[in-house]
Amino acid sequence: MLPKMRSNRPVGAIAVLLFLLGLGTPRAKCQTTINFGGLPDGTLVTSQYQNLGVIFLSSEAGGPQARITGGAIPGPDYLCPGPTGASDQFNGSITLTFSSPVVAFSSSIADGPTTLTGYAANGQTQTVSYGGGSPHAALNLNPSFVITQAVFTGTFYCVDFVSFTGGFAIIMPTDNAKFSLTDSTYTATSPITFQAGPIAASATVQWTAQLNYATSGGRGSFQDLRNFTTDSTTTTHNETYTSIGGKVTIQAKENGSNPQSAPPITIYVVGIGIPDADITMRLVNLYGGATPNLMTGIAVRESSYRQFITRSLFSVSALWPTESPDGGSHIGLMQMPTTQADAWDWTANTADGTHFFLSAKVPLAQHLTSLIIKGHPGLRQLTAVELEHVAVCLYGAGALPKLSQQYYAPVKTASGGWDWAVNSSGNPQGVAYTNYVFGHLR
Amino acid sequence: MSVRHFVSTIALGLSLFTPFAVFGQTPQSYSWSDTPPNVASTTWTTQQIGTFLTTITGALAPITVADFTFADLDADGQLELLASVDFSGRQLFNTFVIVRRQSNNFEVQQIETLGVQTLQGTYADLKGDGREELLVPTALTPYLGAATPQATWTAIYGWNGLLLVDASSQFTAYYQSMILPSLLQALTHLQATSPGTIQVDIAQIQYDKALRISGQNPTAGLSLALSWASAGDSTHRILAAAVLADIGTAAALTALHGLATDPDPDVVIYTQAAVQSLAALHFTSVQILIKPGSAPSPISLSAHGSIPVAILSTSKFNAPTSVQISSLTFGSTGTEKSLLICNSNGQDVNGDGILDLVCHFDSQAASFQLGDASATLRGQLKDGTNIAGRATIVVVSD
Repeated sequence: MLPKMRSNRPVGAIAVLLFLLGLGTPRAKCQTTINFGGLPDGTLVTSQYQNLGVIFLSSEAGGPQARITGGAIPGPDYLCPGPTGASDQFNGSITLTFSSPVVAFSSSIADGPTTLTGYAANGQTQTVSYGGGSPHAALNLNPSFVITQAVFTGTFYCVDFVSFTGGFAIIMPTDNAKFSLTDSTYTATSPITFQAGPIAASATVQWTAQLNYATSGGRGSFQDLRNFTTDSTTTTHNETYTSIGGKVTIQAKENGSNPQSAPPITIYVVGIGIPDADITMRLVNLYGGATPNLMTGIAVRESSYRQFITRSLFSVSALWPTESPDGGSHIGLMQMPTTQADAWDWTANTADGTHFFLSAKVPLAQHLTSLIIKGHPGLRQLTAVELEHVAVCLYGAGALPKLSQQYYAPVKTASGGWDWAVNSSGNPQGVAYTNYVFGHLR
Repeated sequence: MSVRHFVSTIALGLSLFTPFAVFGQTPQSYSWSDTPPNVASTTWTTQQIGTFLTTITGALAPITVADFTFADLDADGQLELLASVDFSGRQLFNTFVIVRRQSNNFEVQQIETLGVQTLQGTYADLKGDGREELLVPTALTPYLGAATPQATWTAIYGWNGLLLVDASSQFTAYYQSMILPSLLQALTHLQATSPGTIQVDIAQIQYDKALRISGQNPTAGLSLALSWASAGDSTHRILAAAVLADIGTAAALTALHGLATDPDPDVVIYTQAAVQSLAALHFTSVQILIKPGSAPSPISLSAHGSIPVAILSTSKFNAPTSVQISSLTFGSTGTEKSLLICNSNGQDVNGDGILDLVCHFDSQAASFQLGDASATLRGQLKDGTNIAGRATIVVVSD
């Protein structure tokens, strides 16, 4: 949203000067002046000017109460802190929050010690105070201003107007926004729109979007750097993040006669809650063994059926890939060794886990049991489901290499032969893992 | 010459060096003496070490190595290979492997650990006797998935003859000075920053374990575990089962066995695992002799027959009358149900005038594997005390 230019009422001398300075720049910057004209008396002012890029919030006791009033204070429309619409002593504050940084700001306080000006740095919170009788010192660029009374004087304080000039800034996406993997079966974001402005007619904007990810323990680190361009004609650009996520640092640089960089912003590409039914359907389709839903039990044990869980990463609480407790050596639904794909693409994670089970664990289970049978004449073959028990035991954290540490072990029968028995003593944790998996099939 | 055949010839002492064209440069081609040039003075990749370990152990799946080092761990002038390895294929790295070259054999000891990515800080000469102790990250509570942290502690393995054995109880001063303070600091920090979370409980479990092993409080954590055992959530009852098994006192075991009938089947599953772990957690060591009365000879993987094992009596321990014979298991890990028969009348196998208990175990059921450095016997005495004995062996394939 670009601010509309308007100025329909005389303003204080300093404000006029600032206004003129704003017009004097060679850039297509817009100065926006809000004089509260047209609002009925008693109107509570909050988001009426959101389309101009600013939201008002007053801090009077009892909630937002800055209202439009006329009457005793000169001029038709003023923003006063009074709860009834009448002018009131201003003991609170009025905060202006801008949708993008401003490079100049001024306001006129009726009945106060005249006018305040300044600008503040992005990311800082500056307070424009009045009541002390002198203009405030220049501030740094800031998306938020607070007009407040520094010294209570017992006089009325109503805001006549505010005026601000937007600078070159990233308009979209907004700083600290989160984008979930909502599309393509929860593997991609919706298109993310990038827009910066204002820019000169012949200028272009060179963008960089640098995505970084690593687990909380620094595992599986990767980067994704994207460069693209917008200009005054094609003002927006869309990017989609697929099978990837993390912290994205975005920079926009205007190239032209007056090159400048916008304050960088950060967005986050984060996970999403994948419906259990979708996970189950995929795991069953991938496997197809004797116990068709066997992989669902593994996913329950390994990840509580969650590719992403709410936790803090980059100091941001969001749905991040489910890490193993050691700082993320393993990740996702099937707790595969951490890679970009296994962290951010649940379809890859489930495919990798199932493939690993089928291609490595089942054959190993067959080999191990054949060796055990070889050493115990007469010992029967395992059934297909029993073989799955051995393979699941080999998948989990209780996987142990020796023949006598597998899920089943041979035992003497009453008739002197051999049969299989659950090897609770030879591998207690592996047996517990396997029994849990088979007890939580979905 | 197949790899397996080559290893067997190495084991039989017929050849010392590997034909380069067949095997490339592998550690067995170099001197394992601590005098350079030797195996430690050559640069190896983890892949090469993994291949070497896979070969000498006859591993049934390729071994992946996270980290390794050649060092004279037991100060005998010969190098040992210490490696953190993964047998799972998932890069879990839950096993330490210690390889020592004895004459022309490679003896391999495996010690369970937990996610060791680097050997840094995993061995140190804690006694100042020139021999390195192994600091082994060990699970205290079961793996309950990514969402639940796992309590761990650092077990200290020291040398007993040719084997590294858990000697944690001998290092109370180390635990008091080096382990306890950091655990307490971590616990205090979590209590302040994340009160009421399971992270605090896990830190408490770890701190209590250190208190127990350091001798400061042999039952530290018991009251908390007892309260968890009757807690509303199953996760804490599962944690309780693990802690109660580790404490092992009568009160702890009573509560532990109570959890075996918990209404939540998950609690029952992990309680059963905790009960099964008791034999490895709490036991009295006994001395065993494998093939008593004969010169040491290798155990052949292909042999079908029995392996005699003597449980040695002492002036205070009468093996033939004390051991619950039916409880005995013997083999590669000590849990193998391989018992054939025992001479319950006793037999003096070591000439000390005291009758020992000699039992015979099925050589195949003992499930030895190539490279096994030791055999383990487990069982119980008639009063219910768990016993365990361990002896070095040489396993050959032929």
